[in-house]
Amino acid sequence: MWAQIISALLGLWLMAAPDLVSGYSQAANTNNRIFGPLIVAFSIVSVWEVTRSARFVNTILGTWLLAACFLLDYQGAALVSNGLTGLLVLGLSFVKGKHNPMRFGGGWISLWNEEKWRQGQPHRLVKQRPGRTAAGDEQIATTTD
Amino acid sequence: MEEQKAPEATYYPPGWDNNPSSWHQRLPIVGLALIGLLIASYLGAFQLDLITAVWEPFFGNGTREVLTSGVSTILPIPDGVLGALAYLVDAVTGVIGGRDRWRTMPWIVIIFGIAVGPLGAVSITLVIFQPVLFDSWCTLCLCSALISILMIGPAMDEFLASLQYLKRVSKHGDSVWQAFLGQKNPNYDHQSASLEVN
Repeated sequence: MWAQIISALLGLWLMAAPDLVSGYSQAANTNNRIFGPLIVAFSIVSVWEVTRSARFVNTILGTWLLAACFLLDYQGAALVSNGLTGLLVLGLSFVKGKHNPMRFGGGWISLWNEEKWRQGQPHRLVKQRPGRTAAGDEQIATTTD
Repeated sequence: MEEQKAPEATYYPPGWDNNPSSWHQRLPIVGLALIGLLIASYLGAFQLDLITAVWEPFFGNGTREVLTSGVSTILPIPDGVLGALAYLVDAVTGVIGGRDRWRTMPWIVIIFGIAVGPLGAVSITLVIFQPVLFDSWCTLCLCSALISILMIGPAMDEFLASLQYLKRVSKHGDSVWQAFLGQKNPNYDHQSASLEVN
């Protein structure tokens, strides 16, 4: 979660940097103003555990920021800022943090992956909460484990 | 009703350790949507000339330039008004249904999820347009965009729970369509547990 929040702040920095730091060409400026908001958006979405995988979009966006150091005209301070931000966004996109799809019935992948679907099924959960299904309890008690 | 006495845990989707349709999880999203509705209505009112001045603390003439730009008036109704309508849909679809609506009303959960997504996408596109096309920023537009992005994550867990439920309905050979519409929504919890083990 913290990695994604820091990543969102880095995106905000990208948006503001052309007004605060020198060395931006027109193309570099535009690049910042396009990719800053995108990084903020995907970082914020991936703050939540259930949509944590949105961080992988930042893997692509961070890689592009690094490539842009060579492809677009960044000079001096702007080059340093852009390179470091890109590196951090790329690195932070690999920080998974606390993310357990089993809290969400197997997560998104369970919708198409039968193995994950089975793993996400509530064998233990149901046993821990007897009484919710009077008819089913006995059956579960004999079939689980 | 006994429904009110039932502990929250009885509303958890199978295999979950929380209830994405609980009021505890939904009300903050509805609150955000209402704040978004207020902001977008205010901006829309300016675009419709209902008010003559617009609040802008940081970027001078920025808000005025953005709100009167060609992009904001490309459609028959101004984008602020469209935004307000989208927030209204989010708030209404966020509040309809009970604590187990991931199972009893998948259609509203899915409309809710779909409404939240494009609102965020359009907001971010408009944020990019501000400096790139008009070389100015609009404080309240940025706030509105932030709100629309904040809503996506918390709305998606309920969306996932409804999709998993529809898959469960399909696996049991029941009508996914009737379940989607909320006409026939069996609770398979204990059954699927024993089915999976066998």
